[in-house]
Amino acid sequence: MGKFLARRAVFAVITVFAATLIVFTVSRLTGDPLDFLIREQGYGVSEEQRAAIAKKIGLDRPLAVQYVIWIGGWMRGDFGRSILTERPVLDIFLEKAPPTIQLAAVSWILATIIGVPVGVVSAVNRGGVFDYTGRAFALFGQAVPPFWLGIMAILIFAVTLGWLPSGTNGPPDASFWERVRYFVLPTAVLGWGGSASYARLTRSAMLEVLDSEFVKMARAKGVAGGRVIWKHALRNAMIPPITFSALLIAFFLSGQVVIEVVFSWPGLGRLATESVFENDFNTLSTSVLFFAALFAFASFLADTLYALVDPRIRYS
Amino acid sequence: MDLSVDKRTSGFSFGALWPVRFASASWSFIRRWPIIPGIILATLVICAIFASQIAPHSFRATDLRQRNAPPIWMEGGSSARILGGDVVGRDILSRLIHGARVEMMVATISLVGGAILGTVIGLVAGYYGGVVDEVLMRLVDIWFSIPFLLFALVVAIAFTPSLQVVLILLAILAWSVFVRNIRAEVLVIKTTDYVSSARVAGASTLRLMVRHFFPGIVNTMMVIASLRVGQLILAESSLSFLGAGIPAPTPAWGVMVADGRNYLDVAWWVSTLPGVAILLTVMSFNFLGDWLRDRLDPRLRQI
Repeated sequence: MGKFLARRAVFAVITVFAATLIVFTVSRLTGDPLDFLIREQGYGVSEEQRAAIAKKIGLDRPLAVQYVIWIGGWMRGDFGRSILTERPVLDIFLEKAPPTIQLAAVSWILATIIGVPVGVVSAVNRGGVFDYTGRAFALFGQAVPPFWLGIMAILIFAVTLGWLPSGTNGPPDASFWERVRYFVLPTAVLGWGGSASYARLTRSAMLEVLDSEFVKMARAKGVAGGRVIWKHALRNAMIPPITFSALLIAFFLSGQVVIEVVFSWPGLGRLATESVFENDFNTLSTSVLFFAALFAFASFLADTLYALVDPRIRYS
Repeated sequence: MDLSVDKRTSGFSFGALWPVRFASASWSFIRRWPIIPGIILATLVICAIFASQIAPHSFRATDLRQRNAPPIWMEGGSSARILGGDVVGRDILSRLIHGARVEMMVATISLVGGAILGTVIGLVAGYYGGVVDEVLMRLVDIWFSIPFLLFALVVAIAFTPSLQVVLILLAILAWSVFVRNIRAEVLVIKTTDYVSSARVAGASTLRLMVRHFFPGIVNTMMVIASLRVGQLILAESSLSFLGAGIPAPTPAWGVMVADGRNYLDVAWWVSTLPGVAILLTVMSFNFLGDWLRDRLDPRLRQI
């Protein structure tokens, strides 16, 4: 167990470093990074000024040295300054992180408590009305573009019916119940896709387990129907959903870029998109690295959970 | 017991119950064959190929008199803009038809590119094993752990967004899934007798791969491709929606949804219709993928 986890941990670290290397390479592949700094293709900036700026931020050094400097700063907690606002990227991050984490956490809980039971009941009533409804729910959730679903939700519940606010996470002094209203639409839209994947995964895992010998044995022994399903079968069908749940939270933290844009949510995803249009490379690359680290941690967590639930993994 | 009648074809006869029989026969036909998704995708392919001939108007000609014009079935709609006009009066129907071409290019070029890349790498990793396998599989793991949309945003900031860049990006999004499954398949084939026999007979590595391994993995490849294509289209439309994908004059559906976002209260159709097009396309592809998987390789259910 310890050895298995140690190997996965080392791998997680390597992954993050590889991600930094990829981001660095892409940023340098495209020519002179000074073009990001100096707007208007350097119009009105003389060669000497260019060289001076390059020297100031270390662009005259060899690429490998630049990479080490960049990584070094990153490891000391120095993420550079936003090219647009001149504020330290870390400050901006700390300010934008809470809304993103709240949105991801609520959506994740919503997706889990809806998706898993839907999958179980679908599997138990295979071929029944509920199974078809559940599968339709999942099919729709996996095929719908999330940004469009968000826009439709705004169109129906905010513009036409006027029941819920159309965006942002509410004014800073909003009361708890007032704030809940702002969370309904984004979490529902984000959660739908997640619960669709949960439902599909749980359904196919449950079908496989329900067909196994030990479930038949439990039934033959006279264990009550509900107990067979929720205790004997579900516990053994939980491996795919558990692995998925760790990846889903990482996905929600990064994959909600589109949802944050649609709902004008003041979080990290929207920050990343805005930094694209402002050519703010420091902010964007830090976002990517942050999310890559998060993903690496989530897959490590998934592996750990996996090993905890299924003893066979530990010894292979 | 009636043994002589094949249940699949017995549903239709002109008795008193023929409407019921007809309904049940067509229902089982629809369940057996992916008719509706097939029709939708065939329409898309035709639109993609003959876009310029089918579209009633140019996809880029603006007309401010038709600004946010409602679709024909609504009050104030006219046959000049059958599905309405967008925020600068361009014909939504024509843009949808031309947009089909973009989506089909994504579906074919990126998918084929990703499938070839992924299959070759999977073959090599599985066939050679050892260090090669380890390095390639770790690369795949690393690639999986980088959030795609953000990576695409980095690329968008570094390169000028264009159709080519988006197609390449999507191809490298697609390849990694192929590698894992195909490698697993190759590991199984490697232990079979016919591979050992071919080797003893002196077949070259290339011949082994092309004649002995490839036929064994082609089903897996097809199934994964058909299950992935919907996700590729969703990824493309998300990128285009954010403005980091296919650039403006090309009518990508994601861009069209973004166009109408600020006019929801006066012209809901501008955003809604392209989204419906994406939804139907992705759903059809997913349906077709599930169907193909059940036919060719039910073992892949977990994907």
